[in-house]
Amino acid sequence: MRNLFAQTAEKIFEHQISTALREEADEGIWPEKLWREISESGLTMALVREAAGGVNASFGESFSIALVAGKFAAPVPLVENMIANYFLDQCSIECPAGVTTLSKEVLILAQGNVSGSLADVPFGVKSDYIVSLAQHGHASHLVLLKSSDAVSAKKRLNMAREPRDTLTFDETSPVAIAPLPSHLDGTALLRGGALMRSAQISGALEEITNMTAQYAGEREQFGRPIVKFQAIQQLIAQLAEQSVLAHTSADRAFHDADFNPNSISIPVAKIISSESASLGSALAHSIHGAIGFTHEYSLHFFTRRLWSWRAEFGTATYWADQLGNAACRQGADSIWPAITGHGFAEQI
Amino acid sequence: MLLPQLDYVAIPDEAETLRQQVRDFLTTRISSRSARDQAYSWSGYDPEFSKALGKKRWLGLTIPKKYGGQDMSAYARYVIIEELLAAGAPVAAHWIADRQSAPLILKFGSEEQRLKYIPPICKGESYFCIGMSEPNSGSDLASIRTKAEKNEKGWCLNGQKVWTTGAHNCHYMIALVRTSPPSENRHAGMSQVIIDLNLPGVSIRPIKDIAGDAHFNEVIFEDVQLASDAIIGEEGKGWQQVMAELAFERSGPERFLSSIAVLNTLTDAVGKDANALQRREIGRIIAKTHALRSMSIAITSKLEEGENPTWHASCVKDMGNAFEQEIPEIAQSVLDTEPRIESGNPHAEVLAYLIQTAPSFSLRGGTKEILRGIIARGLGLR
Ligand SMILES: Cc1cc2nc3c(=O)[nH]c(=O)nc-3n(C[C@H](O)[C@H](O)[C@H](O)COP(=O)(O)OP(=O)(O)OC[C@H]3O[C@@H](n4cnc5c(N)ncnc54)[C@H](O)[C@@H]3O)c2cc1C
Repeated sequence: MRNLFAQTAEKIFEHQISTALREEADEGIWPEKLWREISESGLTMALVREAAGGVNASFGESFSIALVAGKFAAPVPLVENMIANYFLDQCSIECPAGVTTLSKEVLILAQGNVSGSLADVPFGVKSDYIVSLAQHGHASHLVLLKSSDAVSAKKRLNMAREPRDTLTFDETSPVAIAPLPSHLDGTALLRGGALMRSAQISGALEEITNMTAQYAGEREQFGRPIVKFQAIQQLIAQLAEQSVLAHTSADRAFHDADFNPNSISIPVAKIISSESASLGSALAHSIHGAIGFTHEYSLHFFTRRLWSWRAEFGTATYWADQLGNAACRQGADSIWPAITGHGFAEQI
Repeated sequence: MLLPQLDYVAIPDEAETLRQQVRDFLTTRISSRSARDQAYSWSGYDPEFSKALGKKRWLGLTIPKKYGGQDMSAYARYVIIEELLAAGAPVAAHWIADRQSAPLILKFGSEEQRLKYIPPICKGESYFCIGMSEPNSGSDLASIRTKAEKNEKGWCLNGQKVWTTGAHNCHYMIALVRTSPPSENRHAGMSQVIIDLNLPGVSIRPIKDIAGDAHFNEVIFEDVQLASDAIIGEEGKGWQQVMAELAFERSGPERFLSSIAVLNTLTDAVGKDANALQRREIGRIIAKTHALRSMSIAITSKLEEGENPTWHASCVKDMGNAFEQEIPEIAQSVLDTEPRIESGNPHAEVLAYLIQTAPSFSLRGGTKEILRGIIARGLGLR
């Protein structure tokens, strides 16, 4: 049973998202009605405290929202807005109305103004606001920027044709700025994005597992449904395993919701979900045969996202290198306590 | 089809408090063991160590006090066993008795059987082995032929078990045997019996394995006279009982930690100067261990709530075994160390041991094809 928040999300998506809508989004058409329903439902404010006008859902509850967003391949920055608002609220900045996204990059802060380029910003140009970090010396600040204040904006697309834009700022005055609280550091937004992607990947994997099992039950070769072949059953079993592993690991990361620089459950979830995305997509395509390679059949909406999301907010290799580096620096004896506790003694 | 997802459940604090106690105990007790000995993992036999654990009250954790147990949660047991495995402690003597025999006797046994068999298990003094496989029955367990026939004194046992881990060191075997002839229903007519391995007519012959060790055995029964109360649970319900037992057997941390010794020796061998490939692979291994552990803990919560998590246990075992088998291969591929039986280089020795034993990880307790078959059936695909 999904919690109330996820049920709300599921209802909106079921009602609003169709193949036609996904195709329009592929062509760059913004699903205005879908977004309006999402923002009216308060989902983007899930992780914001009630005192600040939010819903005060737990990270555990928010996991299912992000999961469902992935399961429906929702072509809107819901999870970006949700986590951006969380960080704003953590820094006591009021969450603005409109579309807010986040960037993993860090700007330079001087005399209260920020400069630099933000690459790979999800729905950056379409958004009204961007949450990013800005650094002055060693001190990191959270800044809220107006996208329209960018001096240049380049539209870029990932493989799922989701906008991943580059916006450049030059001595821009942020809408709001606040120092990061002590439990967050310069990797917080990267971790926040990675956390969201791990849940979306889990949702998309769940969906392609279901699609694949259903297809294998319908497609007949050699006079029977291909699911009757043991070879196919064994492949679907492996696909299901990947889906469950990614799910539990992402759920764990949300449960821990630990953005500390030495914690590991978010990096783990991103590594695991990214690897499961690779294996799972390959299995689903293999079992679908040629039909899964067509534009007509919907598998690609999910596999193109899986291939994109696994690389965003840190690939499996990026995060594995971070973990491995911490282990090699701190020695073998640091590994088991890191796995069973809250991460490494020192920053990863 | 609805994919049965597994939500994470954290280990409760009262179980977590045991962790440091176990670590402290292990530091004083076994920190001088060589890396090579640690690599034995749950194949390392040391009855003195098992008795010491019994004295610490770290066996029979979930068993009621009445039978010598601790009446604690499945989480408490989880914390203790994962610490033992991570440290490479020699747990083989009591492992099977504590993991599945005691819970099985508690669940299906009579009051007399519980009072007789369980307390010595909790003390680390009584060891059990699993008699399922036979020369002609591996994956197709329902085809077993060993049979127990009713006579005036109880049951007369004839037949042969094979690959029986630890039989040469154990006091008892819990065996799946035929108690009525095969019929239309392949899963009917089987029962579980407790066999005292000292009885006349039982012969045990150790079988040397690929690495030169003798952990498993051939066990032959020739007119072995069992008492009438040798049957555990219901006559004819052996198959169903074995299936319930498998959830305990397949979901634990021993299904993905068998190669942890080489993660440790590799990490120390590459040290601070690790190159990018080594860092990445070590990081991946850490991540996968963390994720499989999350699943395994979530399954423990299902065991704690009395559910039967066979489907998820099959997922953990299949992925965990593949992972345990991959680790020595990774270690070999990222560092130029030639594996050595004996060399004084801990990494070379651990590597040599694990490369040779890794193939067994996905055989013992059920092969990957059988596990994936169970997963597919659970999804309604067959
Ligand atoms: C180290 C070790 C310890 C063990 N300890 C014990 C123990 O204590 N007690 C005990 O009872 N047993 C024990 N076993 C035995 C173990 O349970 C069996 O090895 C296992 O069940 C497989 O049986 P098998 O070896 O006869 O292989 P087989 O069943 O002959 O299988 C050979 C191959 O055929 C495949 N196969 C078989 N049937 C099918 C099918 N229907 N569909 C697709 N593929 C199939 C298998 O997956 C495998 O790849 C142990 C084994 C090992 C290696």
